[in-house]
Amino acid sequence: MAGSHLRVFRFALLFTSALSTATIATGDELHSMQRSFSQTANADLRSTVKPNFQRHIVPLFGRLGCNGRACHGSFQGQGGFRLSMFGFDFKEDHRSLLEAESARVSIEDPASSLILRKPTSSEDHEGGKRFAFDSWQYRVLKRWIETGAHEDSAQAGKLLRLEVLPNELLFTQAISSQQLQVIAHWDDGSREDVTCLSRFHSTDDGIVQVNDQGLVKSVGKGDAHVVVSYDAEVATIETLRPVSDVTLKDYPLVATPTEIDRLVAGKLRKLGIVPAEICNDDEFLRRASLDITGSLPVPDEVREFVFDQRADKRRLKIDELLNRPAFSVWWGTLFCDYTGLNAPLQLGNTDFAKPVGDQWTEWIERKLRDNVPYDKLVEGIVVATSRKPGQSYDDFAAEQSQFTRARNPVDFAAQDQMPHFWQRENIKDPEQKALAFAYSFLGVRLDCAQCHKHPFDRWTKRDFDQFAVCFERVRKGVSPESQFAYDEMVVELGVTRFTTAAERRGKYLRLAAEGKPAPWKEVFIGEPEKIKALDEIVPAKILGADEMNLCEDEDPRVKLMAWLRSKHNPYFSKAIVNRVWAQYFGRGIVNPPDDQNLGNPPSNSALLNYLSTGFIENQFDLKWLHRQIANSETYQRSCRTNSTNRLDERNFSRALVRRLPAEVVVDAILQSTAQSSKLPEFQTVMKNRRIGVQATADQRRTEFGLAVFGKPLRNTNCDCEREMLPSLLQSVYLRNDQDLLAALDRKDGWLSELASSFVGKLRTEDAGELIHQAYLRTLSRLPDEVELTRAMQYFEDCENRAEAMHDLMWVLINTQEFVTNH
Amino acid sequence: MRQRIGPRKISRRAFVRVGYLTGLGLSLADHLRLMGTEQLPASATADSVIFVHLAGGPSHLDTLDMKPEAPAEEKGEFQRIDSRIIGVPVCEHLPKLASMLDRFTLLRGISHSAGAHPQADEYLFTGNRPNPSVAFPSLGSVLAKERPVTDELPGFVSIPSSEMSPGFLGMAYSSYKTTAIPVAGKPFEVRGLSLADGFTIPRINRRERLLRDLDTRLRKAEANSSVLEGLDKFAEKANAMILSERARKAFDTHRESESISKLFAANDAGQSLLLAARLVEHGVRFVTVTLGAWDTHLDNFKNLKNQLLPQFDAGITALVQALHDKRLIERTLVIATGEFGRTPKINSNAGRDHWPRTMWTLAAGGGVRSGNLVGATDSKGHGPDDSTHLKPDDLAASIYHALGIDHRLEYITRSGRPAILVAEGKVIREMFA
Repeated sequence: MAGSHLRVFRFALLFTSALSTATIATGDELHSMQRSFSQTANADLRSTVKPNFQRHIVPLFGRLGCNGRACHGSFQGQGGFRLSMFGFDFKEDHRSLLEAESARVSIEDPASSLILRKPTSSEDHEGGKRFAFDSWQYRVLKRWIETGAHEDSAQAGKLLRLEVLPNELLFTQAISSQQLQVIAHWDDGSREDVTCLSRFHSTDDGIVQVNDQGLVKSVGKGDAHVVVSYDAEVATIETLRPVSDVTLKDYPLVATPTEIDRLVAGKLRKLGIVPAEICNDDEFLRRASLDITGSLPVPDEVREFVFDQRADKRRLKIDELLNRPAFSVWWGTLFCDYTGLNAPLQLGNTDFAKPVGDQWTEWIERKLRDNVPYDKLVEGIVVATSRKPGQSYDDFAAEQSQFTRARNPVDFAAQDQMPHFWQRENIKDPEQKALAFAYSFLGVRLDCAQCHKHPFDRWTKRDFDQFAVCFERVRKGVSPESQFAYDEMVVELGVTRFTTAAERRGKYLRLAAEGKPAPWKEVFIGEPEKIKALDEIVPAKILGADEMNLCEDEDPRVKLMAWLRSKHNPYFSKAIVNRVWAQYFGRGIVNPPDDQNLGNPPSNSALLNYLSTGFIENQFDLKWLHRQIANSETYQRSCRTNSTNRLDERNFSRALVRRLPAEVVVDAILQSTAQSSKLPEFQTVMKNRRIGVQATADQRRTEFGLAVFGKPLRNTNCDCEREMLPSLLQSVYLRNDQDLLAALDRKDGWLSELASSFVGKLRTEDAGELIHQAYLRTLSRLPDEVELTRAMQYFEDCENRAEAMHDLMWVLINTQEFVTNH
Repeated sequence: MRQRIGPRKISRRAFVRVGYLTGLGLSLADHLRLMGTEQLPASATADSVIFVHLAGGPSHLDTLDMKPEAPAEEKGEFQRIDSRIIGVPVCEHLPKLASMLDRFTLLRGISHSAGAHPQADEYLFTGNRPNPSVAFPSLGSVLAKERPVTDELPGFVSIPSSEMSPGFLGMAYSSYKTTAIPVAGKPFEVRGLSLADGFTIPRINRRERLLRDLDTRLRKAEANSSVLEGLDKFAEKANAMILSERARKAFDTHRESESISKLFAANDAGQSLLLAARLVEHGVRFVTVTLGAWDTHLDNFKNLKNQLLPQFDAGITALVQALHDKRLIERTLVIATGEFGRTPKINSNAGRDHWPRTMWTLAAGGGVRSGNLVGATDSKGHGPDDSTHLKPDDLAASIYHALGIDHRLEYITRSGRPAILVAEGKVIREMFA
C-alpha cells in the first residue's frame, strides 16, 4: 500500500464522482519525504534533500503526536520538554529542541540526539515508541540535524492551499476504501506530496473512518467529511455512500419549486434519500407560528387556516406572521442571545445596567420590526460611540437622561446606533472583545487560537493576537476628555467614597427617570499614541484579511465593519443565514451553527452559498431570508419518515422534532390555559410575554420554568448555552410543578371559566366541543376519531367534570406533541 | 465532530447522547459506562457531600481566623475562646463549634482574586477561575454525572437553591432545588414532588393512562428522534418520582426521629441542615445548603453576633452530630465555606467588604482528618502566610479526591473543546486521615 498511494496524479486528472470508473493513471511523481527517505530510495537523491523546519519537521511532530495536548504540546510540557500545541510557534519550538544541555538535538553526534533515541525507545520514553530505528521518519529527523538543525521557517514560504485527491469520495457496496493523497502548493510555485506529514480525521466515525496514513474506509451509509490538516491549512473532502438504491437515475421525481429545494434535492439524489411528504396545514401553521413568532396559533386561527381554500395561503400566512409584533420580540431575544446581552451581570459595572439593558433590547427589537438591513443593524452596534462627535460630556449626560425620563422619553430605539455591546463587563480586554466579536458577528470560535494553533482551522496564535489588537482602542467608562466634567458632576451630586453602591445607583436612576443629567458612562475610542509601541510588535490585522494601521484611523472599527459587509467576507453573511436556518430546522447547514471552521464544513455548501450570496444581493434583507426559508418545501416537510430518510439528520430530508425553547414553552402553557377573552391578546400584547424576557443575573433570579427549560444567561460565547434537550426536571415541571398547576387553575384561566358552566349533565356534543377546544389550544389541531372517543370516555368515567377537564388539559400539555415543534 | 484530539475520543454525537439521556439518575449511558472500563473507585473516602455555602462570604477575622494583635482600625470587637484544637482559638460566639472543633479540619489562608459574588461562587463551586470560554460544571453536577443514583431520588439537591451550575454538562445535571425550607414541626412539601390537594394516587394513575393512550401521534411518526427518546425516559422517571412514597419521605423532615430533630434549631439554618442530613441518609449524593446574609458590608458585628454566628454554630455542630448518630459521618464529607473573606479594614458602616485574598473552609467526615489545622495567614490576617498556597482549585480537587473522582478527568464541552475538570488544582493531602 505504501508504494501505491505515492503515485501522484496531476490535478488535471479528472475524478468522476463514481470511484468505480476512476482509473489510476501514472503521472509525474512529486517529492515526498516518505519516499525520499524510505529504505528503497536512492541514497544520492536523499543527500540533495534538506528538510525544512516548518514544512517537514514540525508537521512530522504533529503527525507523530509529539506536539499534541497530552504530550509535549501540553502547556506544562512533558518530561521538561515543551512544544507549541499543534505547532506554529517555530522559534519557541526550535529553542526548546536545541536547548543547551538538553541533549535533545546533538549536531556533533546526530544519532545520539534524544529526539531520535526517545521516540525509537532506545531510551525510556513515556510516550512509547513512535517510529522505528532507521525508518523514514528517523532518517528525516536525522537528516535535518545533519544539515544543521536550522530554524528555517522563513524559507518555507507560504502555503497557498492544500489539495486532496480524490476531492470527493462516493462509496458503494463494492468500493469501500480509498487512499487519499495530499499535495501542498507553496507560494514559490513548488508542490510536494505531504500525505505522510498530514493529519486526518473523520467527522463521523460511524460513517467513514480514516487511519493516520490517510486510508479512508466506508463503514456506514450516509455522508460525512474527512478533514486533512497540514501546516496551517485544513482541507475537507466529502464522502458519500447511498442510503438506498434509489439514487441518481432511479431517483423518484421530487418537486423542487424553490432554489432551496433544488439544492437540497441535489444532495438527497446522490444519497438515495427520498424526502418526507409535505406536512398538513395544521402542522404547518403550528410550526411556522412557533418558528417565526415563538407563539402557538390560537384556536380560531387554526380553524380558519385549515378551511382557507386559497392556493397561496401558506405564503400569505408567512407574510402575516412576519409582520406580527411577536416576530420581532422573539427574534430580538435570539439576537440578544447572539450579542450576549445580560444587563444585570455584564453591565454590572455601570450604575445604569437596567436602562442600558432595556435600551439594547428595545433597539434590536425595533430594528427587526422595521426590517433594517442586517448589515445596517450590525453597523449600528459595531461602530457605535456614546458621545456624538464634538458633543461635550455635560450635553451627553443630559441627552442620555432624555431617553430614560419617565414622562414622554425620547425614543432610543429610533437612534441609528446602540453602543452598549462594547459596555459588556465580560469583554473588557481586547482579547475578549475579539472572541465575542467573532462569535456574535462571524459565527466563528477563536478560543483555541487565543493560546495555540487552532487544531481545525488555519488560525494561529499570531493571527489571533493580531486580530485582538484591532480592538485595543475600543474603550468604555469615562474618556480622558470627559473625566473632569464627570468627576465634577459626581461631586455635585454628593457622591463620595462613603456612598454605598445601592445609594449611588438609587440616586442616579432617579435622575435618569426624572430626565435630569446623570453621570452616564460612555463607549469611546482611545488615543492612538498609547498603543503605538504595541502596534509595532503585533500589527493589527483583520482575521484572514488586511493589516490595518490602528493609529491612523479615527475609529478602527469602521474598517472592521467595511470588511464585515464586503461581499468577499467569508463569514458574516453565512453566520446569520446559517443561524436563522438553524432556528427553522433545529440544525444548521454548518452545525453547530456558531462554529464555522475549516474542519467543520457545511453539510450542503451549495445551499449555504446560495443563501448567503442571495442575502447579500438582497441588501441583507432579513425578511427575504425568512421568506426564502419558510416558503420552501424543504421547510414544510413532515416529520413522518420513510425508510430512506429515517436516519437523516443533516440533509433536511424531513422535519426534525425539536423541543420548544424555554420562553416559548412557558408562553405556550400560559396561552393554552388562558381564558377565551384573553386569547387574542397573545398575538397583540407583548408586555407579559416570556419570549421578550431578558436574562437575569443568575439562575436563581430567573423564573423557574425558564431556568428549567434552559433560557441562557448569556455568559459564554456559545449558542449552545440555550439548552434544547429534555431533562428530568422539565418532565417533573410539566407534570407536577406549582407553576404549571397554577397556570391551569388560575382565576382568569380557561378551566375556571369553564367550571362555572359545569352544572347539570354535560351533553355529549358539549363534551365533544370542549375536547376540540382543548386540542386546538394545546396541540393546534383537532383530535382524530380515536382520540375523541378516548377523551369522551374519560369524561364519562369521571364523576367530577371540572376534574376531568383539568386532567385532559394536563394530559395534552404533557404529550410529546405539546412540548415539541414537529 | 471536532473531538479527535488527545487520547480520550468521545464523538460529539456520543457526548450529546450522554447529555440528554442522563438525568438526575441512572440512564442508559451511565449503565453502559458503569459496565465498561470506569469502575466506581475503591479509593473514595466519601459517598456523599453536604456543602454548606455561607453565601456572601463570612468575615474570617471575626470567626475562625482572629488576630488579636491587629491594629485598632482592623481589629474587631469579639473576644477569642479556646477550642478543642490546642492553639486554635475561635470567636466567642462559636462556643459549640469550639467544643467540637476536634472533629473538623480547619483550612486557613485559601486565597484567590475573584472579588465579586458570582465569579467567586463559580470559582469555589467549580475549582476553576471563571472564564467566558468554558462554563465549568460545579461539584454537585459532576457527582450527579459520575456517581449516578439508581432510584427515584435526585442525586443532587440544593436547599433552597444554589448557584452551583451544571456548566457544559447541561441542565440534566443541575441541582434539584427545593425552593423552600422546612418549618420545624410541620410536614415539608417539596416543589414538584408533593401532591397538590385533590390529587390522589388513583387519580394520577387514571390520568397517566389517558396520557399513554393519547400521546401516540409523534411516536408513530418518528421512530428515530433523540428528543422523543429523551422525553419518554424522563417522563417515566418523573412519574416514578412523583408517585414515590420514598422520595416524599426523604424530603419530609417532619418524620425525623425526635432524637435527631431536637438537635436542630427551629430556624432556617437548622431546618435546612436537618433536611440535608435526611436526604443523604436516603441516598442523595450531593446536597448544598445555602445559608445567606454573610455579606456584611453593614453592621458586620451586630449581624454576626445576633444572628449569623449563633445559627451557624448551632447548625454545623448539630449536622455533624446528627450524621454521627445516624452513622453516616464516616462516608459523608461536610464542607462549610464562604466564597471569600472580608476586608481587614472596618468600613464607615461598621462593616467589612469583599476580601478574596484569604478565607477559611471547614471540613469534616468522609475521610477528613479530625482536629486538624491546614494553612495559616499572616500576622494581620491580610493574606496567607509564606508557606500557605491554597486555592479554590485545591479545595475542589480535594473534594473530588474524597469522592474518588480524578480531578484531572477530561470532558469534551458542548462546543467540542476538551476541558480538564480542575486543571490547576492539587489535592490537599494534609486534609485527609
